[in-house]
Amino acid sequence: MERPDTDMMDGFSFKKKISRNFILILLAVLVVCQGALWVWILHMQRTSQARNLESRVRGVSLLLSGVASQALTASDFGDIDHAFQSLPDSDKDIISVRALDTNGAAISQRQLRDEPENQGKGGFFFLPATGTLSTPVMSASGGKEGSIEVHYSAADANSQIRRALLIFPLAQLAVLALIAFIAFYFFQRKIGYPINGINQKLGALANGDLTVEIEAGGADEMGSITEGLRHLKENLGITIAQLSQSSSDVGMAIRQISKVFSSVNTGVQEQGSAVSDIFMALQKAGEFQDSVKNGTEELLEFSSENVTSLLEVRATADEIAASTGKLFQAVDDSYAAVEELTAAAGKISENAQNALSSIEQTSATVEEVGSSVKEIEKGAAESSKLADQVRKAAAEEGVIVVAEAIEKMEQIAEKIKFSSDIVSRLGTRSKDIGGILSIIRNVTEQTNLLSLNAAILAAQAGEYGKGFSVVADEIHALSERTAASTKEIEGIVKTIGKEISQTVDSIGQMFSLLESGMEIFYKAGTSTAGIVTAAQDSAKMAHTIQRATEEQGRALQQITMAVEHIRDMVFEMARATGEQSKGTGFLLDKMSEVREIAEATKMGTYGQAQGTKHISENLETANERISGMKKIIDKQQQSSKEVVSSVEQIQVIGHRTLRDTEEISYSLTTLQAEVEALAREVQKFRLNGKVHNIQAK
Amino acid sequence: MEKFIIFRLSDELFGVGIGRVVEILNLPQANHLPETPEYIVGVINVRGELVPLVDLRKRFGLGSMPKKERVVIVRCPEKTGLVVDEVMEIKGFVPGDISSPPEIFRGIRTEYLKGLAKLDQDRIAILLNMERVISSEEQIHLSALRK
Repeated sequence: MERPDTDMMDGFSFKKKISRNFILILLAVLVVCQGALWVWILHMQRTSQARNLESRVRGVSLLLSGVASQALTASDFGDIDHAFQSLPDSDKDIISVRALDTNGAAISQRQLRDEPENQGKGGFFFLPATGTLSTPVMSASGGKEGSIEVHYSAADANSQIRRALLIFPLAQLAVLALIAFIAFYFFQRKIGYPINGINQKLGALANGDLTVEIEAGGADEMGSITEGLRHLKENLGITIAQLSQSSSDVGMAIRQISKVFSSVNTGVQEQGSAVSDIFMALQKAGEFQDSVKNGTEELLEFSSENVTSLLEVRATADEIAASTGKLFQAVDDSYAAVEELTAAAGKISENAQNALSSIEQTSATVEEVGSSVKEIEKGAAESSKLADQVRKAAAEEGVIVVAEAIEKMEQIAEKIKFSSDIVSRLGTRSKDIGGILSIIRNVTEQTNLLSLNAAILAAQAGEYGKGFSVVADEIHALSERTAASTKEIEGIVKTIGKEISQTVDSIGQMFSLLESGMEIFYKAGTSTAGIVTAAQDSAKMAHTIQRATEEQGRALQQITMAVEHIRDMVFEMARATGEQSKGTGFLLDKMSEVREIAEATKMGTYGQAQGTKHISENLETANERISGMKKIIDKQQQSSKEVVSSVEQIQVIGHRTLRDTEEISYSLTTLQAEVEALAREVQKFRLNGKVHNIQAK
Repeated sequence: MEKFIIFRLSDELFGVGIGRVVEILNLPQANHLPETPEYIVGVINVRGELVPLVDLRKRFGLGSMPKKERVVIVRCPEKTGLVVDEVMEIKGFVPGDISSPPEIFRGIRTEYLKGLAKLDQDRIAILLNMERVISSEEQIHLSALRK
């Protein structure tokens, strides 16, 4: 365990130390506790001193009062004086004694010593400087004879108290100093030194010294803190070493990049200047080219003029040659024409024969076609007639018949409706009959009832009622008969009603049947109208067909006539061509003579023309070459212009590249500076192994 | 020869002596009365006279087959209306036509019966003893209704 250096204590002066504060607090607590104890002890001492003094004085007083009791009783005051005189001087506490009678008058007194100068009234620690104790003197009989007053001094007791007052604080100070020293020593040993050590190491670490050794501490809190610090230091060391390594690498890389970049920069600049040179050179070359081009154009112009004049000469020669050639050609052509004519005449004759035969065939075919067309025409006419008939039939008869049928049906419907009405009226009537019948039935029943009652009355009348009884029986029989007839009529009427309702039903059915029939007729009417339209359409079409066939027939007749005409003509032609063919043979013989003469003339003119042509050709070749040259120059100029523009672009790109490289260079410089700063920071850490020295240039 | 009114209840024919019969009426609307036996249909007004109506079909426990429902007013001894399904005829019987009834005849106690009379070859009429048909107790009941 090292003692802290004064240097290391710079940041931690004694005032700010934990140990000082701790000790001061401890001492303050001790001072307070001890002070309280001290005050209490002193107070106790005062009390005990006071008690001690009082008991001594009381002893003297009691002794004196014993003597005084006898003396006062015997009125022998000499004893009192004697007793007073015999009091030892050694007792420093008693100042004076007095004997008083019952009236308080002093009988005897003795002053042992002077009154003390200091007349303190005492306090918390000290006793009052003087005190008086009065003791009553009692006679043997128990009466009060007087009193003894003892005046005493507490100087002795107070001096003892004062001594104690001095000794206690001194002792306490000594104890406190001892405690402070012990506390400080132990505090320093257990806390202060370890903390100082940690502080020291932290300071070293903060300053970048990672070489400091940190020993493992004990098992207490300080030990764990030290351990943690050691771990921190190791990890920091590793991290810093890595950082240092990578910063060094980065530095190197950046240096290399910088180097490369500066060369790139130089290269780009050089390239830029080279491009500028090229551009200049190209511009100059362009100028040269322009002058070359101008020269060539002039040359071309001259050469063209030459060619033109020569061409004129050549044309004249050519014309002569051509005229001669033409003459010969004409002769030649005539001959060839005659020859061809002869051949053609032969061929024509042959063809005419062929044509004649094919026309014969055609004529026959046309005649056949004509006959079939006639048949078609006949058929078309018939079909047209039929279509007309159909149309007429459909239009007139069909429609009329359907309409009539519908009319009839409607009439039937009306009739049926009428009869239906009648039948329903009949039904109503039969119901009326039913009503009348029910009235008749009621009347009959009533009659029956009356006849019964009459019979009852007749029976009750006995012999006298016999005649009436017969009448009543008759009436009864009549009513019975009436009832029977009514029943029959009722049955008949019921049957009629049933039949009427059946009739109504059947009429209804008939009516619905009629309606469906009428519907069918209406449909028939509609479809008949459709048939009529279709028939009309077909008739129209049949007419059209008929007309077309007629026209076709007429056209065929014309064709037949034309074919016959052609046949005649061809026949004529065949004959004529045969004669012509003979004539052309003679002409051919005469023509071959003329041809031989023309051949000789042609040979002469041909030679002259050939020479002129040669010169002209050479000149044209030269002219062509010049113009070719011009073209090449033009092309070259074009391409050199393109080159110039490309170079301009390159220049622009070069400028941009330059700017970019400058920017990159600037960024690199900045980066480098940053890396250097980092390296410097890292360098501040002193590591155990090799110390990295990163210095970017 | 004694004359009887022959009437029909359900499908049975009955006869009542004509001497007891006052008259025959169509069935009028009867005023039904509360707290009376089921077979007492109600009371009718016959020319200012109140007459109680007895339904003989219910009295004899027969079903109803009405055709021409009538009321036969009888004296027993007060006027009482008998509701019947149909009045058939007035028939006279000589004593030889009437035979005494058997102990029990078609569910009707013989004490109600006067005898059985042959109407013709295949029909029999049950002749009723009206005093027995309507007991004295019932007569008190019925006479109470007349007031």
